[in-house]
Amino acid sequence: MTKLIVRRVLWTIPVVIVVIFLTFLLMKAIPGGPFTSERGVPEEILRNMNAKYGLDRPWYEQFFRYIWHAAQGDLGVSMTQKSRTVVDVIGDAFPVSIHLGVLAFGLAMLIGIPAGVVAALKHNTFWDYGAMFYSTVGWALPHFIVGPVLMYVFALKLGWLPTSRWTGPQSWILPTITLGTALSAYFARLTRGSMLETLQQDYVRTAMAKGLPFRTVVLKHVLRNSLIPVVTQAGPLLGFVITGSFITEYVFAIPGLGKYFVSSVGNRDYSVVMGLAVLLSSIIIFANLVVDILYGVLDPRIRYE
Amino acid sequence: MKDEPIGKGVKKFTSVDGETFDAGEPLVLEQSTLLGDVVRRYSHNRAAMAALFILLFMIIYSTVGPWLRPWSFDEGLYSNPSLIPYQLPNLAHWFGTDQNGRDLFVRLAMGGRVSLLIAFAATGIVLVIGVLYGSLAGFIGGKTDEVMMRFVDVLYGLPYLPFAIILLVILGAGIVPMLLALAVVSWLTPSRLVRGQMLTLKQNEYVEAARALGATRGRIIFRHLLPNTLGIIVVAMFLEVPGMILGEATLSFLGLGISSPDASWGTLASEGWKALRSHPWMIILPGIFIAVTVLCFNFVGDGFRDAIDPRTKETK
Amino acid sequence: MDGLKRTWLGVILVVALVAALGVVVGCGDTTTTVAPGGDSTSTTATDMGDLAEDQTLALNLSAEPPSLDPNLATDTTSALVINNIFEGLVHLDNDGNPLPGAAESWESSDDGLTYTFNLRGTDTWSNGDPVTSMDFKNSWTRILDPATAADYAYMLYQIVGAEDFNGGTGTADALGIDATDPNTLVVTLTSPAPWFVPMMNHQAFFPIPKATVDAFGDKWTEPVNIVTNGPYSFVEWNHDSDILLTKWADFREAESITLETVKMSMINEETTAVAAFENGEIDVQDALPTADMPRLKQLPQYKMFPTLGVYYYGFNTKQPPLDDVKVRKALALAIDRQAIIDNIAQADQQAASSITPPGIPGFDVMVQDFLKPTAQVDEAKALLAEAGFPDGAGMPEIVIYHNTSEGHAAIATAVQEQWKAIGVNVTIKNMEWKQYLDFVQNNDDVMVYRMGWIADFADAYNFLELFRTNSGNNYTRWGSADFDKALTDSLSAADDAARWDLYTQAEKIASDEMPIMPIYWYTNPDLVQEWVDGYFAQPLGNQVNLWVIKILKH
Repeated sequence: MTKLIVRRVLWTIPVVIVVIFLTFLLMKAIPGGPFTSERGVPEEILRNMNAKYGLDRPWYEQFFRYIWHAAQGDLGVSMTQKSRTVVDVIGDAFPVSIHLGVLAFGLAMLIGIPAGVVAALKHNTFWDYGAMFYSTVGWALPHFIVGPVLMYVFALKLGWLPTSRWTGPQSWILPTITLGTALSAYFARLTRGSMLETLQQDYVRTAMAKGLPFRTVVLKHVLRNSLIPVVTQAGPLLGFVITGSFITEYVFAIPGLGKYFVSSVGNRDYSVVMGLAVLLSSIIIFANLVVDILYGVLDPRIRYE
Repeated sequence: MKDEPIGKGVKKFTSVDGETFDAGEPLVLEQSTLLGDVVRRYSHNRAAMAALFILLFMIIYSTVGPWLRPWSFDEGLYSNPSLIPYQLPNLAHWFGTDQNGRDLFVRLAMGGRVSLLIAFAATGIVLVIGVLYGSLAGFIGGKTDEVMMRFVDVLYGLPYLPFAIILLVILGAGIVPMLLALAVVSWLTPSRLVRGQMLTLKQNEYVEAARALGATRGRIIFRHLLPNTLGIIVVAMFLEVPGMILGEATLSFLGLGISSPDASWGTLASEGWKALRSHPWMIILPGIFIAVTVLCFNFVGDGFRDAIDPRTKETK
Repeated sequence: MDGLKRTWLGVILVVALVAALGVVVGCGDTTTTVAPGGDSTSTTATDMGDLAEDQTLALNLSAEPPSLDPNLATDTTSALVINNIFEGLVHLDNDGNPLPGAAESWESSDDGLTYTFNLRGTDTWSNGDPVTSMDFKNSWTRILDPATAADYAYMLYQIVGAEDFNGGTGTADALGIDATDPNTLVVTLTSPAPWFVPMMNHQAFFPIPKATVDAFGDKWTEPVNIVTNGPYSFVEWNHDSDILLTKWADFREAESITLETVKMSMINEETTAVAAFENGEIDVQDALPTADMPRLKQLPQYKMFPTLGVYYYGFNTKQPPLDDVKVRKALALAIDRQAIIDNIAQADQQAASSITPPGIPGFDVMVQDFLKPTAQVDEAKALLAEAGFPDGAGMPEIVIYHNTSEGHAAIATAVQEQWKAIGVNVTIKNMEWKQYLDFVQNNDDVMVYRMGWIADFADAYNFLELFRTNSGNNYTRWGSADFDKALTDSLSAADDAARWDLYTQAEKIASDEMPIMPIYWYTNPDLVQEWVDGYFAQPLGNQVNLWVIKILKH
């Protein structure tokens, strides 16, 4: 087991390097550079700027330099934010994105899991249909519709909440709901399905037959085992959350990674784009790794190749 | 949604190769009976049937919608001064007009064409690549499989949206770049799925038999193995399309969609967002179209999955 | 195994609970809002009675300022902050005339080549050091130093030796910048530049605290390190979120400054920002979504400020059929500029009849009347027929390129429809901004492109020089020796009248040959809360002098 984990962790290194390489190539393929401007910048000034950021060197040298520096934790300096390094940018933006993500996940679990449990226990009743209606509709609602509509109703029409930014608990509410709605729908659906399956298992039937109280059976046996798939789905969901946070941050002017990424691509801020791509990839790779390991830990039936 | 009682005919699950996608042992039935069963089971699913009808309606609306009204999708107040911008839905303009006075009923229909076309085409591309890649890896197995799947693992580490954004900036706005941006990372899941199926299927005796009779690899894959994975491919398709619709709309919302005067539901939502404060219906209308279509595809996909393989019911 | 499972579930549930509690408890915490001043008794003077207790302005900066280093900043967002925390040699009044700033007075030599600025000798930096002429010389030497790699170094190219030093062929010693004594700065120019004094209000010419810059490197602009000499102190900078400025109590004129605190937010999306404005979260918003303009224009908070800029369509004059001046003129005459303004741009812009916009000195003399606000369809058709394309017959398809944006797309669509009216078929292509710039600058396939220019300094020269032969800003592939000569001559013109006359000649040539088709002159529409008194966005760079603002009771 340990050997396996070590192997999987080591495997992430070449993956990250490939990701860096792909991002690097793609960035270089975009027409226009960080210093392309509608003002006709004199030749000598362009030359000075390219020299300052090492862009006058051959591409492979730039690439290997980047890898070498990145390995030492230096992701370079931003080409548009003149006073900041990429590490600074990540240090400012990442915690905000994490905060938003955790709130949304929390909200989603708080609503989704109980909804799924109730739906499964009250199978084929009004409660079940209600929960399933919520989960199907919630999953289909795009973030860019939920966000603006919430903003329109609760900030503009009712004036209860701030429209935008990330300045305090009140300002967290609308973005959290925007990002959390679809997630909670997904959790509800997943929990319900998995509960229904668990309820049919022999050990549950045995427990019931033994005359254990229904509550005990549900809490001790059913719920715990039903949540395994919910945990293991958290990894693949991460990609979905990242996509959602891009839109949420865009709509609500939240200073997180997504907002940065879009503007950095526009500015051709090569170093920031690379840094953010590497960071996001690492998160996804790490999450997949954790899920794989968890999967094995939680369900011993699964054998590794 | 009407459910059949759980437990009837449910078999124990065998995990396929540690993947998160469980499809169980493939059904090996005579094709015609299978199809008949599928249709029969599907038609008993009221929610899925309703969703299918709504989808058909959407497709019909997108196809004929532009011809139902006297205006063309790009006809604004310059070529036709009688068109007034920002009209609320009314008798002449059923969905109102936009900032250039263009009729939104017509534009939403045109947007539907583009959005659905992109979603179907991207799904098609994804499935073709995914199925070929997955079946090759699964069938050949061994070192080749290992290498091919490692490549998939690497690509799985790519954050999807950021790469789609970069690709669209490189390729520029348009339908084809959008297709590529959507397809480039999305073929991974189908390929894993199909590979898993292949690994299981190729252990069947009839494959051994075909091999013994001297059938080529290609023949075995296309004649024997792929038809048996058709079920999950169809289901995967229906579950992939809504993701594509949302993906296109999301990228368009960020301003990377096809350019005006052409429209997709995503670009219409983006235009509506700019006018949110004074004309909220401009974002709500495309929003409803997107949400309803996605919803229906999910229902239809679920319905098909249940109809094709009733054992997987309720486990998603 | 079982224990491990339980732990994991526990962790998940706890995380979920804590997160949810965070939301719920958080809501309760912040319901206490800042109490407004109300009718307190602290007011003494009668005019003070109109002022709000809380002199705080919340202004949306729209974006993270890329740099607050005066030598490196290139954009108006950064300039807005820099202008209020640093002080240059001069300020500008609302008409663009220079007022004394760090320089008490200045004089120029008769040949217009030497400027002498006299500093006050009493001003200090926020760390107590005196502001001297060396601070200016250091700054100008630094911006021109090739190692600084400053984008805006070319703003100083009219100074003797500047271009050579920046290009790596000269030395700093050869620069025409002399700090003859701590309070006297003498600058020598290569050719007369009548706009030189007002230009001192541009951040590129601001002083820098060299010791601080050397000590902290790139990080010297962070609030903990920065040393400033302007009316406001730079207190807080939460990157990409907000900036906080407060009045600097030791500033020369601090006593006459009313506005105490400025909170700057960075809401990028116009729709979101306008929503925040209407929800009372911000007091000033200067970028408005065109889709919402008809409604916004009705608001009492809507204010329109003049600005110096022109929105135009350029023709690639080497690309048939646009190589024929008759075709270019026909296309220009077919445009109903007023309709574009009324229906799309909507911010009371003016239909442009020349390149140079109103507000530029001598505008009334220079303006050409070749282009009318409305379309001259008959004339356009006649010209097109003369060019060999009667009713557009045989005319190749024209491609309009624009950078991706709702507003540009709408204008391109309008132009497309109007050109269709004279029989010209048009397709529209858009590209992402930098890709677009790369394309129009370097690809000879470009046909018609949209572009705009906002003045760097308030003189027609700044607009006309864009279209000199082989200028880095001239994407039309057009050149005229007469046009170039008029501009070169203007630099040594005897007086304003003579100079304007030469500009008029240049405008005339441009209007006769029509390498570009001006569409409208920009305006700057803002939303400003009614209690914000004295807010004025200057025509040049839309700069705001925060120190003249007062917050009224509301």
